[in-house]
Amino acid sequence: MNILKTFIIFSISFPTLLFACVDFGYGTYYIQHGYNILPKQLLSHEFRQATRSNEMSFYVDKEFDQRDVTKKVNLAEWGKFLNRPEKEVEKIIYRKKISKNLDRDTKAYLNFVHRVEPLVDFDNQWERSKNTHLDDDYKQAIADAEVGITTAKKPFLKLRYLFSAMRLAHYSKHYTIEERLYQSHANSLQNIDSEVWQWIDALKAGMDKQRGKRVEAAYQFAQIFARSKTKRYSAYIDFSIKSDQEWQALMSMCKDNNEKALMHFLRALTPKANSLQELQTIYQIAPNSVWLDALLTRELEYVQFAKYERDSLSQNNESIVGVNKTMLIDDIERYGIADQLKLKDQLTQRRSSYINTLSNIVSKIRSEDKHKDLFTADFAEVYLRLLKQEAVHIHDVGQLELRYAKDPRVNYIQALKLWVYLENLPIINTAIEAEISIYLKKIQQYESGGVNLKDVMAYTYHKLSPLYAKQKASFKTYISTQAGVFDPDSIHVFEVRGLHALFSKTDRNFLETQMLISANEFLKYGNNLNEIMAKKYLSAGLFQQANQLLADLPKKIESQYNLFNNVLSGNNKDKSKAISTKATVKKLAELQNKTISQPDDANTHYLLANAVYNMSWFGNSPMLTRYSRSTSTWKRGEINLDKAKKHYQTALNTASDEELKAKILYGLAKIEFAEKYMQVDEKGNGFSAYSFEKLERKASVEKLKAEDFGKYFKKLAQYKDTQYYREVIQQCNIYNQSSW
Amino acid sequence: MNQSKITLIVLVMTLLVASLYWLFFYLDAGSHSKIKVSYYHWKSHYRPKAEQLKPLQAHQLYIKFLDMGYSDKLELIQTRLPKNLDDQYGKIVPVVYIDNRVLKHTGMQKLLKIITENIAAKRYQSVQLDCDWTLSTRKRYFDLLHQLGKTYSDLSATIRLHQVKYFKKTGVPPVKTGVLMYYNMSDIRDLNSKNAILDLDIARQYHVNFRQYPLPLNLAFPLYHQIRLIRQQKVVMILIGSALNHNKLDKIAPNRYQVNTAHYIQGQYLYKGDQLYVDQVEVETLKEAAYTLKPLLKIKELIFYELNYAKDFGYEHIKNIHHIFN
Repeated sequence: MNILKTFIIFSISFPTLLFACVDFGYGTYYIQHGYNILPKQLLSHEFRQATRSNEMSFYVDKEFDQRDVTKKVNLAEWGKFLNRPEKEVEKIIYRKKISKNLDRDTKAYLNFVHRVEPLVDFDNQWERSKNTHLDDDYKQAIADAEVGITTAKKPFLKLRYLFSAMRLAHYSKHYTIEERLYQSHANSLQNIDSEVWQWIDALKAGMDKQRGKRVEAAYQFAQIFARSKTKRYSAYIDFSIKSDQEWQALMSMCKDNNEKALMHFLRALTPKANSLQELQTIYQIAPNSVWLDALLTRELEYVQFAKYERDSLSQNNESIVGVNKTMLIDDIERYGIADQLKLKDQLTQRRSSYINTLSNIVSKIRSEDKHKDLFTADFAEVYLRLLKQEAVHIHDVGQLELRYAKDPRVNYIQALKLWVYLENLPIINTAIEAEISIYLKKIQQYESGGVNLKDVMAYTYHKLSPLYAKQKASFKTYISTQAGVFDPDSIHVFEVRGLHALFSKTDRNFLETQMLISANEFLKYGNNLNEIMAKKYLSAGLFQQANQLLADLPKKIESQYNLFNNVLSGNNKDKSKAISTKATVKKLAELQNKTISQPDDANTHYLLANAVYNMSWFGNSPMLTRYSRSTSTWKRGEINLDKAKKHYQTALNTASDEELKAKILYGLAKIEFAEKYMQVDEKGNGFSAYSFEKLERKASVEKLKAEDFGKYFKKLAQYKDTQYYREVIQQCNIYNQSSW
Repeated sequence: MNQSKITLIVLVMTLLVASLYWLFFYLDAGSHSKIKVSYYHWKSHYRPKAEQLKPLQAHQLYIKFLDMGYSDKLELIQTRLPKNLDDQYGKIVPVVYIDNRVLKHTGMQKLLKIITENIAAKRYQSVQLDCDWTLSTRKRYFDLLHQLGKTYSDLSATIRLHQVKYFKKTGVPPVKTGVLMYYNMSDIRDLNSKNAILDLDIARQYHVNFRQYPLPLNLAFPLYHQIRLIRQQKVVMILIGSALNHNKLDKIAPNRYQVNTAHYIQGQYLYKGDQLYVDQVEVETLKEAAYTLKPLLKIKELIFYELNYAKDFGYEHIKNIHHIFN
């Protein structure tokens, strides 16, 4: 549902009074967030799943799994046959738990199927290839199945025996046998209503294809595609026409124009097809065909999609994929990273040319009286107007609603209506929130129709965040900027207070309730708003405030590494010397007080410096100020070692003890190293340029030295007589690689 | 010293100088004659046929053994090879193509395992890797090469033109030899690319740092041709081969056509309005490239991409191009 996404994208660039930004509006935000407001009910049938393939051999679509659909249909048929609940049937059929109270025929059939399964299992192909008696095994299995066809009493089982026999013959490439089986037995079973016929037809079509009757096979696959749910996707893959002669022969086989339209539809689904030309052809030859709506919906889906699967072709063909996909989806990404205005213009032009062509086709369909059901076309008209950056008013969607007031599909256009509503929104207030809430509730009510409330919320947040910001609504601005995702590490204290206020509100509207979902989820795991704020205060160096907030917390807080340590062993993470967070923060507050009462106390400044360093990304307790962090990457702005440096410097200026001075200098050296790390990493080279692996360490240290690193290491050389130098500094793998 | 003695000395000296000149000339020529001709094989099924391989007189056959791509998961294509692959028509050098996404998403040990399991070190010590590495994948790629170098004593890697020009930025792979790919020099997706395979104007912009490049370089020349299919202002497909149905095409520029009647070709449906850009390597262009590169590069091997196009291109033409380097 990425219509919204595209909607959003384009809405930003609307040249109307509300949309001042004249840019294409594409950014990584939109690439990473897919929105879908296209309801499944847009179509009277469901062909969406099979239309999403980018590259057949790499087809991945979590929404459609042919195996799942087949299992569902199969279970339904077996349930009816056995007259048992689905759960029990599932055990019998798929988990091979054949219960004793089944009749003899059914048990015999199931035992047969399980026995021959290795011969027809795709995943077992490799194992099968090792079998030297394979052909004999197949022939025996086919013979057994044929016995089953004649001896089984129930037609349901006979038909399945026939399918099994044909499949075994097909897999072993005994096409003559396969054909004979069909000729001999199919007629007598014709009155059975079962999906198994589709599987049999698919085998027959495959057999024709293998024997070179490609056109007949394509025709049959097209028919299977149109009528079977369980074989739709494989029929789409197997439909193949490769020459003008084949195509002409296929057209001659079609009984009417609707069938011809189906062939064009299938050709339009191939990844590189010019589907707009196919759409026009379908309209020309069969204007009232269901395939027109099907293809139109597919076009609209392409227009809205953001998430996509990349194909994996060879190096030369990399990134060359379907027309509509590249134009409507990949171009969005390219636009986001394009650094030249000319390129941006090209991408904009290409997309708008595509959308204009589609829009013209839609206009033609709507203006002529050839297509009976205009719901999809009418929906597309409003939608495409938004994409074309034309002003759309809520009244336009209202008219659409009126036109289809009695059509159940009308319930699924609420997302489009909300979208248009949000586009025209100048301010936000309680009354507007209430109106948005009504839309959202309706969307939630019909969520099963394909529109995802989460996507709609993401779009809603995107539109509302600047309005909330204008209103200075602290938490609402924060959460809408975050697209509803509460992140305790990025929120500020004043926003936490806003959150607290919203929690306290008793008459929250639906929108506000949605805003609290993510925060509620976070707090469910024993987290606390005071603790969030305490972490912020710690990060800001406001230890008194942090101490106050934590002191009242009943929660038992986990112990940390000793924040005041400046040692080397165990990476400064000695658990035996750990103290609890509460005690740590209390000590921090005391030390901070002491800097006021005894500003020249070197040890106090030294301990505070260690603590501030250790709370940074480089130290032993970065989690004291955060809830999560990356161990491999860091963000500029999150680390500021200036305060630590200042405390060390004050400590150095006031210290008289040689041992303490050595410790302080080592602390300063660690900061110098951290700053070098940040400086190098910022240049995009990564610190990998300096390998500290055992064999390369010395060379890296020399390189650092050559780049003026080592200001404090040089000074440390004067403290060789101290115990700290002997016990700690000499163990330092950077220090001991060179003479300073 | 009488006149006759002087004459004799002059004669001896002349002969000596001439002999030395001849010797130097011979040695020099001899060193050039060491430039060998080899070929790539890039299809996913290798079926060696004597009538195809014998005329090549190949020193080595660089055969793509593995194609490692990545979509949602590692996509491994192992070239189907005959059981007894021998060196009768040229020493076999396995090549591994690695997509950058593979490097990003796959662990080093797994990559090493796949490669070493598919290319037996007992049989092959010369192995080549082909990867258009980027700054973000460089470290992983170079680490992989470094590790592979412990298994295969003669490891080489393909090098793109831009990787030579900007080698200080892009890095130099830790291998024994590099093979400079003198093709694919324009963006295949760019509609303004004159010839996506070989465009000497583009190539000349990259004739930088050949001497400074820290790795011995060999050279790979293209023989292949391709058709870029442009649909709705996008390159959507590459058609291999050159057979076109000219009755249904309008020529719009040299090597460029527009479809006037929709039709199928090579199993693909061409819509009215589609455009076809034919990229092919002209003999004269390749010769010009050879003359230009000869003084710039000291190569020991000239590899043609790829062997399936050799016959169409012409063995004699290939020989002539080879001779330019000798």
